[in-house]
Amino acid sequence: MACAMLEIVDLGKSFGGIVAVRDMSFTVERGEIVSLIGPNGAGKTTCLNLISGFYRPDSGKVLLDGLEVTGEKPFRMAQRRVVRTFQKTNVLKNLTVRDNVLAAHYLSGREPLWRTFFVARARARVERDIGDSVDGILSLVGLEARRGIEAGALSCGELRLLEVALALGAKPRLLMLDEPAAGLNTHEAEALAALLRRVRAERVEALLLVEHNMALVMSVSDRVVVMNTGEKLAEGTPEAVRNNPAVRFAYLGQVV
Amino acid sequence: MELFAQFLANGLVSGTFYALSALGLTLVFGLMRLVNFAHGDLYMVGGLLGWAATSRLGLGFFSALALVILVLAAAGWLIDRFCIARLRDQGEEPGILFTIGLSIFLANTALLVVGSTPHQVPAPVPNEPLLLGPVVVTKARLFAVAVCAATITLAHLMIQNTRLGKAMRATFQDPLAARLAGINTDRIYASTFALGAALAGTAGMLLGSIYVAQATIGGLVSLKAFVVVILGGMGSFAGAILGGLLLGVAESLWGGYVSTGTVDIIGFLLVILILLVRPYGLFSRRAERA
Amino acid sequence: MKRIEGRALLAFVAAGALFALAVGDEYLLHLCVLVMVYAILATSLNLIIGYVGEFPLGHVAFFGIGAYAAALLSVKAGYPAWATLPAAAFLAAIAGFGIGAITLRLQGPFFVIVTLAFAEVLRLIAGNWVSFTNGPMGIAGIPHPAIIDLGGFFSGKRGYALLGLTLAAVSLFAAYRFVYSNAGRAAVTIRENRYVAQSVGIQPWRYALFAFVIAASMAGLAGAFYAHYLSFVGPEVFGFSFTASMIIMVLLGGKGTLTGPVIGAVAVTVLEEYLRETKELRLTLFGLAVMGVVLFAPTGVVGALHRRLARGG
Repeated sequence: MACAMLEIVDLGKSFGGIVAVRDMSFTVERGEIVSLIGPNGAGKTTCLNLISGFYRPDSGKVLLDGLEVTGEKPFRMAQRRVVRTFQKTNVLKNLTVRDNVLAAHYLSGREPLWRTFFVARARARVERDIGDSVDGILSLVGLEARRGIEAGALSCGELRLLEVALALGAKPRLLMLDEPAAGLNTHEAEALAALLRRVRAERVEALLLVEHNMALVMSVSDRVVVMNTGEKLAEGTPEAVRNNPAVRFAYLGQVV
Repeated sequence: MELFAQFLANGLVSGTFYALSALGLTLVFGLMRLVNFAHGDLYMVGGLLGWAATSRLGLGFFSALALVILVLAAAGWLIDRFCIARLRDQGEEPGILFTIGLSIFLANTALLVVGSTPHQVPAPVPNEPLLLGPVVVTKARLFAVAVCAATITLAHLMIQNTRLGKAMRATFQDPLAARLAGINTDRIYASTFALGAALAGTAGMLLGSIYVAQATIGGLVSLKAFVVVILGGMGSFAGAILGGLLLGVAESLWGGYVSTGTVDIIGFLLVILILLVRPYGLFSRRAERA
Repeated sequence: MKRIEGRALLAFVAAGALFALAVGDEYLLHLCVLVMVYAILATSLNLIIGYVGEFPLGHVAFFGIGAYAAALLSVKAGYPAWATLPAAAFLAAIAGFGIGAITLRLQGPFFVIVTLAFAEVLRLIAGNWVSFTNGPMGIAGIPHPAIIDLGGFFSGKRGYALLGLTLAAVSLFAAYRFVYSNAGRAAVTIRENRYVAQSVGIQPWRYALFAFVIAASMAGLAGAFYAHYLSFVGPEVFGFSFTASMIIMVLLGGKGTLTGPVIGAVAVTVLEEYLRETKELRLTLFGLAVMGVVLFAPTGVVGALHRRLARGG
């Protein structure tokens, strides 16, 4: 297959009179880690919302493996193995760490509604497999020691790890992370970078990050897409983008 | 045609009463985001207290009304300060459950104390009929409509123009900012609930002079108030007035042309229909997102 | 947790069976029947409160629908109890589907009020549609289930207690299976965070409605059984008295747990009978209890127990 795993074409979205995203186009190829960066308010999260179905685009297309999936509902996109995380901690605060990741395994355990009431031997095996998968994910992100703790009691760094673990529970092919390094210190961000590389190697086919932490972006990305005021400003390898004068200008000489 | 005009007039009168009954509820929801299921029972307490003050203590109508307002405002203030304040940061559900418990408690305590006999608050204006064109209204009802209108206007002026009112609106737009500006938000919440309770009690006593003051009416009053608030939008003054009038006229027409026994149904049917189409009420300002 | 709850539920059913078989006193058996009705009703309410996360103040509507369905089917159409009970549960499920489809789009107080509106509409219809429901006079002469009339060991109140126990066991089993299933977990996920639920592939609509329909059907079953037991049904089955009892049972016992509603049912039934003479006093205390639980023990008795167990006690 020659087509990209994810391709967005001329995506556009306005809220009231305000244009949040305009003519956005980029691709994510299989095996890649692509980062979407830009100043605050550039429309990065809106893009993520448009791709994952939480917003309907006003114009443009979203293509998954060449198939048009524009405007499909979020749960449908998740069923297509496109899973995203949310900014500002969105985990199931009142459930334990383990139950969070277990909840994310919904698709693995899906069965017709009427089967809910019948005890079946095959079911027990499914539940066991899910349990093993949960344990595997928890040890991958490094939270197995905290499995019985209520998610609301975790530290900031642990919450970020839980978000990734949760998303992995849904067995994504394309994993989209919204500011996974928010609030992390340098050490934690480096650990996250290593985790993301492992995730790309072992668990998913591609990653799309929305991120502000430049060190993380530069160290982990294969390609970077820069947005400003709703439009694409630049695109290329991390080095190319770092040296792009328009990008530097947009960031007003900050960062990097 | 004459009959229609009469029904319409009746509906507008009862509609004004509904508007006042619902005002406290919509205020408390709009300013505090608390759905007070005990609203109808606060109304009931106001009515019984008003009756007791006039017939047992021999107070005049307006003196008794002042007493009712004071007592209910104080009760409301205390309830918020010591109970509702503890639930504020737990989301909407605890408030709903707590006020349901309060409603059950108030209704049955009243039954224990006063029994279930209906009473009437003596009105300062006689119940004589008055002819306004083709339509007949009693003087007592006209008086009650006037007091309703005055109360609604006073409440509106209070919220818009006084320092307390402005502090209320500030607190509910942004509690943190209000606190930073030096407003004692705990006191504001308590005052708001007190205001809601006082309005409920006022309606209870005033309408107790037209209808009844009885320990068992709280539930129905609450329901009707909810209908009004959903019709008019939670938190909207104008909505409460419009919703009240709409309900009053709808009930009057249904009662006149269809059947009087099932009059209460029309309100609930309206609520169901409206929430089907507009999940946040007829005149609400909330926008829907994908 | 799953194992503990399962064992506790089994213990309850076993205790109930023992009680019904060993006890001879009519009054105690009557209490046992009531406990069974309330256990089913409270469990059904808890499914919505605890697992959909919304508060259906009008849940009694399904209890009433089940009761009237059983009454009408048996008295006016002559069906026997072994047919009316499942039919009532089925009709209540259909009503649950219809009402749920409408009301579950709403959240918070709007959901509370509109479910209440439905219950009130039904109450008014039941009380006024004289040709169909006999209006305020209700429907009398609802026959016994055939098994009661078999005589011998299953006659009278003991028969009802055992029948009620069987229905309760079925309901508790259904609730247990639901809660620990994929569907049950999905419902909890939706309750906790709608967005996260969608992002892992859960269709919020579907599971909330599923839980709602199961709960409605369960409440309808309780209502139908109640109708046969009392042999009379009137508009009061849609009334607030049942609503108040239900709320207290679930809150006091512990919402969101399986054993909570059962414990609540036992406690409330005993309390109600103890204070039967003074209805107002009982309800006043109920009101205080609701306020107290909400303020000081929002997870109820069983909820507090769960916490202690989870901490590794």
